[in-house]
Amino acid sequence: MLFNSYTFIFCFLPVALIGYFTLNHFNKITLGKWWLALASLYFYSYWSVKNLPLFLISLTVNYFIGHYLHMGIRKKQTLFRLGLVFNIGILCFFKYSGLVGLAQFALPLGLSFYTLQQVGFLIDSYEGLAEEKSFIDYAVFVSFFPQLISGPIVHYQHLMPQILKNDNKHFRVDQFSVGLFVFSIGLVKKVLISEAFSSWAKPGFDEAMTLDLLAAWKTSLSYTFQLYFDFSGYTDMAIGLGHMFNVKLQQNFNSPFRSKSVIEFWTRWHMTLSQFISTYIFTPIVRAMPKINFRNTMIATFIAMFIAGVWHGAGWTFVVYGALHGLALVVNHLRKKKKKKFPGWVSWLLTFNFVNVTFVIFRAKDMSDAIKVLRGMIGLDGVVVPKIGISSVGFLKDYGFEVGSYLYPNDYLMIAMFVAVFWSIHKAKNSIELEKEFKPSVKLACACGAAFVLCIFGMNRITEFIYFNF
Amino acid sequence: MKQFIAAFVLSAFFIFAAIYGLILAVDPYNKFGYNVFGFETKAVSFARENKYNQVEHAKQKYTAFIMGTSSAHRYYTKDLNRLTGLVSYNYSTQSATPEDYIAMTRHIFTKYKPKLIMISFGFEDLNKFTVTDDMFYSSPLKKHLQEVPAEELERSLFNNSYLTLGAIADSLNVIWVNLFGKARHAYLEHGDHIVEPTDKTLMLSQAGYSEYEIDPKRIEYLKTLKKICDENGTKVVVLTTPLSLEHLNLIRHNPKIAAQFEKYKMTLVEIFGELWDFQHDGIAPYSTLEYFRDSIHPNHHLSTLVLEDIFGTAGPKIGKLIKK
Repeated sequence: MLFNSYTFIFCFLPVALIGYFTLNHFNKITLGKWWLALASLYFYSYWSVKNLPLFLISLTVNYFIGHYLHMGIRKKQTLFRLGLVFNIGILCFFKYSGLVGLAQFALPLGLSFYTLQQVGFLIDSYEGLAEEKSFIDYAVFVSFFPQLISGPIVHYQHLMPQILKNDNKHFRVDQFSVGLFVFSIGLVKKVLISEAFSSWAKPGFDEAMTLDLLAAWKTSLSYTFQLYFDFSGYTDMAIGLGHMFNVKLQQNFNSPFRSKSVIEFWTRWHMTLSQFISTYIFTPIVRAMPKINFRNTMIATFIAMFIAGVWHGAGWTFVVYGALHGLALVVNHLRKKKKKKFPGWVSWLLTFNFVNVTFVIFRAKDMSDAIKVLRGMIGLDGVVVPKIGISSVGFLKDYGFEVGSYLYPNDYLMIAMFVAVFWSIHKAKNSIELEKEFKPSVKLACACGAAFVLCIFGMNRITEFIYFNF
Repeated sequence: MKQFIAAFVLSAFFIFAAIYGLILAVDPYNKFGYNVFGFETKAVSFARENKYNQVEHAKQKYTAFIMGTSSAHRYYTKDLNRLTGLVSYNYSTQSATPEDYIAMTRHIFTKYKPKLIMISFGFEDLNKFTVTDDMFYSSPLKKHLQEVPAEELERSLFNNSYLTLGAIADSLNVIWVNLFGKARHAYLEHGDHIVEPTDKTLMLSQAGYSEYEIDPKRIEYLKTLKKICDENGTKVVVLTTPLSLEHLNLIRHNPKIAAQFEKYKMTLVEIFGELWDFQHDGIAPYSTLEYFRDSIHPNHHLSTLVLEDIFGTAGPKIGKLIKK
């Protein structure tokens, strides 16, 4: 089920909320948890019930492994390793079986996210940082529907104390108000902004044979913004829904396009994945190194980033994406070590364009598709200037430029949106800031109501969230 | 806090009611036949609703129908009438696919006994990866697509053509045009299309063809369409809509797509027995702004030449008749 669907907003969500808080109100706490878990399973299997058995197997197996890790059994390490092999094995089987000549199976929805979350739980359990005795509590932790399919990737220690806290078991108007506000922001990002950029990015990637300079930049920038507004919109909606259930989920985006280095970018983009990689991949690699020095740390950085890239899928595009980001991090760290600095705006420009170029590779179906867009971006497939007025651009023909069609109203809308987005990158408050500074007022409620209604009108063309594919 | 939630709910409710009420009052796609403000024209983007209603309520007894995508908008019915002696209606709509053609055929036979149905096919029409236009599902035409169970055609409760941002934009457009602009009748009587001003350059559509596979379901729809027409003694004339040479080259650039391009034509020949082909190199002298609006949309001038090629007495100049 999609957050941006009529079924979710008008049927599923009210029923889930009313059921959960009514049961809690009558002190049926365990029943309330079962309600939440079952509602989440319904939410998950609404798309395709075929995905449900694997999810339930994964949940049950991980619960028992986590449970036994705490019982002080002798072969704790073996059990822990078995748990890791089980989770990573499932992930690899569905993501990479095609690479080794086996049949490529469709990736079950949310597999990457709920697997990472449970791997985190196993590691924390092994290290004594998390413990879960109750199956239903564990089921709520893994299946909690706001974060089930595309994150944010949450830690057990972060989520469960909030759900178990007595104060949070009852409907709270203040939390619901914040939730409504943040959910509306996410809905606007997805339905009104991301979808618009999607319609400009798709033809360039999927239909055009070649792209001239402006068309290629339009395509790449549109995708960069589509991805950001799609994923951060999803996260905002998830966080808003969390608030409605009195749970504060972790933030995933903190104005990533303000970053002035790739290091900074990864502290602002998909933050919960970055934290996961740092805690559960980078740190163990560094620990496993014979010596902790700058060189080895950089090797670990590269490997961790490479794994993060490949986590997205089996294609070469993800390999290159991960490798490029790994390299960029190493270069950034080297420059930092040597205390070399560009002026602020140059750093921003370099970082933004690096991210934009790597997102072209990330989006492309294959490397030749990526090269098509990248060639266009450096003008290798020609420069076509749109007519603004024939007399004003006609002279460009003498310099080898083609003069194309007039700008259409849709083109003006696109230019306006690019300008607005670039402005908002630098000047506007992001969701984290807006959430923190939330002060309920009638004016704000009306603005949210109006935005919400526009989204309702925009939801007839429902498209999946990009990260549902990973 | 309670005030915030109440204000949110109330404002959302009233804003929704106001917007939806406005759309209903303007009724931009003639879905309900309302015209509260007495507007002269409905500046719509989508033909299906309007043309369905025109066909449904026409006083004339049409004996010929033109079908196709937006590239068939510019066949003048008066030209077809002149060349065939029939009374024709142009039922072409944007982004039409064989789902539209079979549904339109059935709709036509509920009201008329046509002697001729002309279908102008685009390469994309048979492509499995070209999805059925959403507007088809929200148009009354869908009830004539009996092959698809009704529940599969149903969209969610709110998913109709007036619950869209497009409907808001079109309603505002209608208001703007009627109050401050010049009434622009997008679809005239008999389904004819207005003559639009052309661009100064022939723009090569950026639409490429990354994936193409002939859809067996659509083949079945077309076979059924042919059968219905045969049973009613209606002649079916099919043609491939002219494409500019640069667009043809774009298609043929990819060997896989080029192979599918030939297959698509042969499939049409197989189903209908013969095909008037206008998608070949002979289009080269016509690949200019004098004949095309853009690389995939012939203008009125070329559309008339196409009709003369097929139905005229002088013999074809551009088209090639391919027989089974």
